[in-house]
Amino acid sequence: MRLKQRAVNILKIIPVILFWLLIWEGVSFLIQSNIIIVSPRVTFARLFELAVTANFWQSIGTSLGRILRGFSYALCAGVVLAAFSSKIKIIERLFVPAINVINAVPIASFTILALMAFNSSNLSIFVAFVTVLPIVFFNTMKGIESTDPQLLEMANVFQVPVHKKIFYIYLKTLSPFVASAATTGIGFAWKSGIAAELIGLVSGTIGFNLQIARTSLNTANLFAWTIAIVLLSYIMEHIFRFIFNRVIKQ
Amino acid sequence: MIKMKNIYKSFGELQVLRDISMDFNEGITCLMGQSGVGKTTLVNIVAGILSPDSGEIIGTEGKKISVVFQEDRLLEWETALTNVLFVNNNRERAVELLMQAGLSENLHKKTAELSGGMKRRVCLCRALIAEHDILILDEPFKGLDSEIKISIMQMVKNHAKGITICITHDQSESEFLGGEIKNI
Repeated sequence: MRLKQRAVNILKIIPVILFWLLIWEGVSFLIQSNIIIVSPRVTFARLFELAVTANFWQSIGTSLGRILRGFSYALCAGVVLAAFSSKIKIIERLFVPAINVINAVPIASFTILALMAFNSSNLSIFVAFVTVLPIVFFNTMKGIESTDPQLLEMANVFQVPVHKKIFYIYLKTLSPFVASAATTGIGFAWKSGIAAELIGLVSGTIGFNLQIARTSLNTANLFAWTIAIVLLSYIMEHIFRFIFNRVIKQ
Repeated sequence: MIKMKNIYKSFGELQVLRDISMDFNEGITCLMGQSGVGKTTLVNIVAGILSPDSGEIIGTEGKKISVVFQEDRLLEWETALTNVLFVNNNRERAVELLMQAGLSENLHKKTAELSGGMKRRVCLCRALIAEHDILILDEPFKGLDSEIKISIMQMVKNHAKGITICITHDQSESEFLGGEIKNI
């Protein structure tokens, strides 16, 4: 039943994709400039050309690895900081404004600051970290606040050990909040990480390839890389959603 | 023995307990009274969940307390067995209690899927398995069919240890359980 529904959904989206591809093709035909816009045919042909090169996969691997590292650090740090902040008032007072500031600072500023402070190879790790940290932190805080106080009171009366309270009460309440933060955060981490690689000209990364395409006015490469980024973002979000849905169900 | 002396408790403007003095001895004490007179507030003070505005309680310090709350307070996403094991890891005893409570076919069912009466029985098993010197039962037989109620009341009589305080509205329940009857 679920598979049937999924097939119906896919069939429904195909005409929409075809419609926008036609519009894209039409616009590129009207503009007739391969520097401003290339047609979908040229873009996908270039994507396939790139996909058979080692550089394409190495760049994806490097970017993906670093961004996922930054994302994972933020996921752990966000949950731990939120847990301490919700229990210890002084930590909350110190960290809530700091994380609000992190949330408000533009990615470009962080990238420039980070370029001055670290080795550029760590740039996307750092940028992904600061992008995802506020999302995870505030979502986890919200989750902790929504924990049923009556259940906690019950656990206290029965003198239930802390590890059991965490496993049976907090984890269950928090998992949808953390899952939602993670699925939102992975998309942000991906986009901001690649933007940072582009600004920082981190060699051997997706961002670097985008910058090379721009400076050499190779619009076909630029479009092909963009398509690759969008596809990877879509795949990652779905993988994470699948994993977290499994975790929540358990 | 628990001694409560001149207990006062208010929630905002509403004074719930006013100069209550009461003793609870070893064995079962049934606490009766009309709705809203503060029975739950009184036992919550004994359990240490609430603090009195003034007054003194002697005999609860360092004691292990077990409670059947007025609300079920179950981990709805966990099975009946896990809910009981949550307060005590003795699996064998947990299974034994749940079976005695007529839940042998529902051990591994999530409590969210159980009926109100079944949930109440899980709460009772959870309270009975927890090590306790003081057992507080706030309307523990609420929602139970009359047939099963007798065996569950017998279970309480068999397993309750130390001081047991049972809130009930039903005279027949207090008669069955025996022990002292106190009115508030």
